[in-house]
Amino acid sequence: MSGVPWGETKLVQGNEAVALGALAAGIDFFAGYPITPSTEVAEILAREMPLIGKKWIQMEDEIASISAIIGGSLAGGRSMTATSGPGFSLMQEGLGYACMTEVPLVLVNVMRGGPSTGLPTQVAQGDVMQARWGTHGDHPAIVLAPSDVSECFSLTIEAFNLAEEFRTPVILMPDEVIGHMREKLTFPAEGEICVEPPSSPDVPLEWYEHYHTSATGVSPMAHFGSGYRFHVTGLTHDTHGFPTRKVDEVISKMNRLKHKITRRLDVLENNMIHGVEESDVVIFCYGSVYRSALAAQKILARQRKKVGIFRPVTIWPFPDRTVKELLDSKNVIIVPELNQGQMIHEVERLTSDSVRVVPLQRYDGYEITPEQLVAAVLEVM
Amino acid sequence: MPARLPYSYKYLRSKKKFPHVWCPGCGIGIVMGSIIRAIDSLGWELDDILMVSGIGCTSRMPVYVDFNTLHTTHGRALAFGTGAKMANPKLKVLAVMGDGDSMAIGGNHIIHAARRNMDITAIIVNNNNYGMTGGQFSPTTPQGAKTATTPYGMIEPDFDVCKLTEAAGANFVARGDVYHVIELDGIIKKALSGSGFRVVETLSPCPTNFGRANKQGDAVNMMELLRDETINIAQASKLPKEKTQGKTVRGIFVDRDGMGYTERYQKLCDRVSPGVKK
Amino acid sequence: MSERPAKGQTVEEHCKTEDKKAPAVHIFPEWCKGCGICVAFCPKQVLEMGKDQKAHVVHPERCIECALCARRCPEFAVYVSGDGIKESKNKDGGEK
Repeated sequence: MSGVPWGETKLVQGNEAVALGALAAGIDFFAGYPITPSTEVAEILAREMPLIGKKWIQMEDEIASISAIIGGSLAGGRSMTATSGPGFSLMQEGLGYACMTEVPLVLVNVMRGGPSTGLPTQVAQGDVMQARWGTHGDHPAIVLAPSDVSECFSLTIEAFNLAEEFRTPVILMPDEVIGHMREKLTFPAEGEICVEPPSSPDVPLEWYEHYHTSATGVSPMAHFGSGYRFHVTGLTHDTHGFPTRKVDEVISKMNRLKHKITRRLDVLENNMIHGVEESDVVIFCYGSVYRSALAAQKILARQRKKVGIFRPVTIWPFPDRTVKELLDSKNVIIVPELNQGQMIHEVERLTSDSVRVVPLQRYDGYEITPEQLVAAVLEVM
Repeated sequence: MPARLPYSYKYLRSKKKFPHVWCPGCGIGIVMGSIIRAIDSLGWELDDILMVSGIGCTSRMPVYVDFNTLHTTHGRALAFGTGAKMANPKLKVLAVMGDGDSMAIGGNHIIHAARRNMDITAIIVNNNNYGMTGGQFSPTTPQGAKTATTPYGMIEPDFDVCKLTEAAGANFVARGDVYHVIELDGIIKKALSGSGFRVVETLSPCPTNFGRANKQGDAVNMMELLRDETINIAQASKLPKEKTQGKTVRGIFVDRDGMGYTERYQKLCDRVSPGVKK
Repeated sequence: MSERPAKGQTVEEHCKTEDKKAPAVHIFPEWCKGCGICVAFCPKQVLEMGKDQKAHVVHPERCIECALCARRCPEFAVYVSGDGIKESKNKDGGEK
C-alpha cells in the first residue's frame, strides 16, 4: 500500500491510522526515534514520505526529535513526531519551548506502562497529568485521546489543524491498546477532509510582529526564508520576539499563552456523551477504557440497568463547564483509569461533595474489562 | 555617530540593542564581526540565512544580527538546525555555540550532525568554561585549571573539538582564534562556502570568569596568550617538534568533499520515486 | 584643521592636505567598554585609553588603515573608513 487509500475500507492498525492521518493532513516533516509501542508510526512514514518527496529523519534521540520538528515547523513544514513514556519525558523541555515560542507541531504519545522503562509492550494511561504539566512553567496544553482506529486517523488530522489554529503543540495520545489494535476503517474521499492551510502574514515586512495579538489570541506566523526575518527565543519575549524582563511585557506574554486556550474552550471541547441525562450512575472514561465502557453499557442494558458514559475526546483543556453542568447532579461517577488515579482528580474537583466519585484503577498492564465495569456499576446501584 | 556608518551595521538588527550583552574584552563580539564580514564577502541574501544557537554567552549572538534567528535550548542548536534545513533546504544554516553547549549537553548532537554530514556550519566559540552561569568547567577546560566547580584544579582530561568532529565525519574542520582575526575571517569564509558539516573552533578569552580564576590578567593579556601560545599549521610544519610543544595549532585540518545530507536525502527520494515534484 | 593656507599654497591645495589628515579611524564612545584591545595591538600606537575608560584616537596621522583595531574590537565600536573591507555586496540592508 502506498499513500492514503481514499474512499476504501481496510483493516488498519491504530498506529498505521495515525501515520495515514498525518499523510492526509499534508505532513511535510517527521523526525522521530523508535520506541515501543509507537514505532509503527515512524516506520510507516519512513516508507511513505520519501515516495512523495517529503522529509523524514530518524534522529539520535527524542530530544533531537522534538528539537528538529520545531525547527522544521519554523522553516515552513507541517511537522510531527511519535514516542511513548520515556521519550515523552525527554521531550518535555522541547515541548515547553514550542509552547513558549508558539510553534505548531503534533506530538504522538502512545501510552505504555510506567514509570521509567515500565511495561514497554503493555497498556497504561499514566501520562495524563504529564501531558498537562510535564514541562516546567505555566503553559497551555491541547491533548486529544482517541478511542478507536478511526479516531486515530481523524484526530491526527484534527491535531494538525488545531496546532495551526492555536499556534501551539498538540499532543495526540492513544494508549497502547488503541495504537496496536486493528479495526475496520473506511477512509473518507479525498475532498471530504478539512485541512487547515498554514497561516501566513500579509502585512508589510517592517510591520510584522511575530507574536501579534489578534481577536483569536494568535496571529499568522511567518516562516524562515519567507522574507520576514524574525527572532525566536525561549526567553520570555515581547510581541516582536525579543527577550524582555519588563513587567508589563512579561505579564502580557504569559496571559497571551493562557488566554489563547482559555478564551476559546468552546472550539477545543469535544466530548462523547451516551445516556448521561437519564442515568444516576455515569462512567467517566477515555481512551481504550471507553471501548469496555460501551460494552458494559450494553450488558447492563440487557439487565435493564441504566448507566451513562461521559468520555472527553479532548482531555486537555479539561471540559470543566460541561462536566460541572452534566455531572454535578449525579449520584455516582465511576472513573475507570489504567493508572493509580489521574483524571479522577479533575472530576472530584468539579463535583460537589454530594456526588460520589468512585475509582476503578487497573495498573497491571492489562485492560479494564467490561465485566469489571459491570461489577463496579452494580455495586453502587 | 558619524553620518556614514560601517557597512557591517547593515547586518545588525538595531543600533538600539548595542552596546551588547557581552563583557568588556570578551571575544564573542569579534567572532560576530568575522561572521558578518564573511557573509558580506559571499553576498548572501539575508532572507536565506538562519542563525541558530543554544544557550550560553555565545548563543546570545542571534538576537543582534538581521537574519532569520533561532535561539533554542541548551545543547540542541544542531538538532533544531537539522529540522529547519530539512524542511527548507534553501536556508543556509549557521549554528553558533559555546564549548559547553556544543561539547557537553550538545555532544550527542554534534557527533551525529557530523556523522550525517548535515549541511550546517557550526562556529564553536571556545573560552574553556561555562561563562554565562559563572565560570564552571566545561569539556574543554584544560587539566589543572581553576573554575567555579574545580576549585582545586580540573582533574578531567579535555576534548579536542577538532579531532572529535573530524573523527565523527565532518567535511570541514578548522581552528582559529580572535587575536588572529584576519586569518579567522578567511577560515570562516571557507567554512561558510561548502556543503556537509563544517566546524570552526574559535578560541576566545573569557576575562571575567576563566581569565580571572586562572590569573590570566585582563583581556589584553589573554589576547597576548592567544598570540603567543598558538601557531598556524603551516608555520608549525616548518618548525622542529620542540618549538611547537605546548602550542595550540590553528588552521584548516579537514577539507573534504563528502556528500552533504540534503543531497543524500534528495538522491533517496529520486531513487525510490523518480519524477515526483519535490 | 589649520585655518589658513601655508605660504605659497592655494586654498584648494590647503583643503586637500587637511582632508588627508582627517582621521581614518573613529571610535564610538557610547559602545566602547574600555577593554583596551584596540589600543594594545595597534601596530602604530594611534590609540590611547583615556581617563574616561574609553579608547581615543590620539595620533591619527600615524594610522595605516590596517583596520586590525576595527576587526579586533568586540563591541563594533571602532570604524576605519576605507578600511580595505570591500563595499558591501549585499543588496539588502539599510540602517535600523
